[in-house]
Amino acid sequence: MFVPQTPVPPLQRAADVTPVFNQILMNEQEEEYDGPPQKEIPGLIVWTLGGNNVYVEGSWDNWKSRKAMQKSGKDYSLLLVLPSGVYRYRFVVDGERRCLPDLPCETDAMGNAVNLLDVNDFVPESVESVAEFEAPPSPDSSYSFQAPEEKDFAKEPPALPSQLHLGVLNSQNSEESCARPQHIVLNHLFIEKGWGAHPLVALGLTHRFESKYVTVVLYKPIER
Amino acid sequence: MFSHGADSAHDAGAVGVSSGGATVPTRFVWPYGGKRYKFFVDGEWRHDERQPTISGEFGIVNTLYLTREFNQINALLSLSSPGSRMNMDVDNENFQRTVTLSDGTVSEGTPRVSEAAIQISRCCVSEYLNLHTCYDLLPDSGKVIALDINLPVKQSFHILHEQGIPVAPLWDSFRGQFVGLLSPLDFILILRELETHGSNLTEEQLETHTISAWKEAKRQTYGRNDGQWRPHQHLVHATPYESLKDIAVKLLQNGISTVPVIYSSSSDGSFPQLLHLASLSGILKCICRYFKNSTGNLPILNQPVCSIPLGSWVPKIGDPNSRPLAMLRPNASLSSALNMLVQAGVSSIPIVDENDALLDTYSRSDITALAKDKVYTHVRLDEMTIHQALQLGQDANTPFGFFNGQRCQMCLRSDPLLKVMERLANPGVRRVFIVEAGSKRVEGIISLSDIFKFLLSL
Repeated sequence: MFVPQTPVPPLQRAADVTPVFNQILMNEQEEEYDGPPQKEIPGLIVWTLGGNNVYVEGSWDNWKSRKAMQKSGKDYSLLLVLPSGVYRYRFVVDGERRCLPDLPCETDAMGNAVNLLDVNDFVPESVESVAEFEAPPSPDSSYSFQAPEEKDFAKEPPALPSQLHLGVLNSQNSEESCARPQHIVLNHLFIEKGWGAHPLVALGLTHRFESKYVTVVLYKPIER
Repeated sequence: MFSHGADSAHDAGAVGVSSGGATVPTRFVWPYGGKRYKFFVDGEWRHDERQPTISGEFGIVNTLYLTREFNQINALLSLSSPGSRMNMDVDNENFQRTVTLSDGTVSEGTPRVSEAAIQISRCCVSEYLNLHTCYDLLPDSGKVIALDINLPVKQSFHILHEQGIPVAPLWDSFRGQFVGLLSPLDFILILRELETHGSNLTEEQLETHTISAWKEAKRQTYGRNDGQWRPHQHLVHATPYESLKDIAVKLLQNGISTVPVIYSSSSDGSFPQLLHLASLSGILKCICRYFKNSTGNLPILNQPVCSIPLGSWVPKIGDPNSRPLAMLRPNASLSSALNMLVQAGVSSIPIVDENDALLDTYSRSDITALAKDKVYTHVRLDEMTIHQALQLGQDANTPFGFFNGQRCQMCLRSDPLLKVMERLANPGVRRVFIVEAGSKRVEGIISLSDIFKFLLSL
């Protein structure tokens, strides 16, 4: 079954990067079973305002340790692998606590400014960058096609493209989350005829709302 | 030992006296309220001039200025020297530390969380809810199921059961609008109607009785509008850019658990798009996710839940204000459970054994399990026990209402508030039961609306 690939932020390309990832990927098990094991997701932190020694400290370990950031060009970056959630963090640049003002930030109860890191197990769709969402221009051809007649309906309909068999409606889902649908199944109306003696149909549609996807299923009676 | 005179309706404890001579340090549990006392020495009532006194109906009595800390009164009395009859010092400091009054829902043994912590937390949560909108509640890819109002009620019952959802919005294709929600309460009322003699609803009619006809009949029978059926008015709904705070207030004030999120690109609300079903548990999940890793902003999150004034607790002795928690035994009839759910206006009831230990819970949404194998057609509600009804739902493969593989969410009173909130953030879990460690006796219940009313100071 098709599983959409989760985009991963680009990793450091330098071959001589010290294995700082090994420290990060430690996975502390909780003593008591407190829900399903949290999936760890990579998140990238970048510092763009220069400096010589740049560290980052954050709420993922309750501000206990400072992690050194890797320099690449003029910027510093660090990849962290964390369970889904919202974390607070701060940079320490040459010994001084700083925040990046153009990233999301908040002021805590004691008046300190911190930046926010939102680690999600999906990457929100960036609507502007998806080419399929642009409406195509009208094709250059004559619009002299005849409307279908009775005899056209007697013929077999064209074969369904196989990609349309995939999608949220045909897969088993939990209440929580469905797999992100492929763009190709959007805005197609699916129908499931009634079962047994029940004169009803189920109509299903997956469409996009902003950068999220909604699948709506409507159960309707058939008028006799 | 010496006895204490009873001087108010609260204290009637009289402890045996040993006249003269040997006096021993004692410690006893004083089960009643009250804070005035007198000494009975050698046959007459005396008060200690060196301790604080007030004049009361029994003459001059000693009194203690007590701190409001605990619920159970532990009187710790010690005597400085045996044999001395005049030298009966009440260890006032010790007494003050341990003797307390019952105060609402705060339970024994733990100090209450400070007012300042509560205010800071409320402020932070309020700010968060104002800044974030309903759009954040939408999952990346979500599914929502709607029903046409001309569907027969019986089939909608089956659909909800098969899809494993408790509630569905209703679509009126003639008007092109969403007009209400079908919830478990509707089924409970229908099943009760079926059993009533002389009811208008027979089995055969159930095959063709449509949802819209049922909703109209319900409005006429029960008089009150259930808040969600508005064929001629605007449905209570949310738009995707409303703030989370507005939605929470809307849910609490209307007394409903779910509200549909509807988007319409035109100003008159035509061509509505159904996006999501928003509930308090979804909002709570956002709150937990945001604040879980920075409890400095929300100091009450780490406090034990018994130190925070929220929820309903089993009343302690001498506390006249609490009402007892509604609980049922597993052999009680299903109809008594349904009556309780409807009349008490609660969404679930704890099921306990003879020792009041928690076994399971029966919720309104469990009613759809009766659709399995059409059990409801050949079983009378007052002959079926709750235990049998719960068995029907056992092998359901839907994870709705489950967490950790358990249907019934339990916590200890010493668990931090964050843990209780995370449990409640699961869809389908509307109440968390606070139980005593080991015996699993029910001590209290905390529901979603309790948490939100507390956080929003409603």
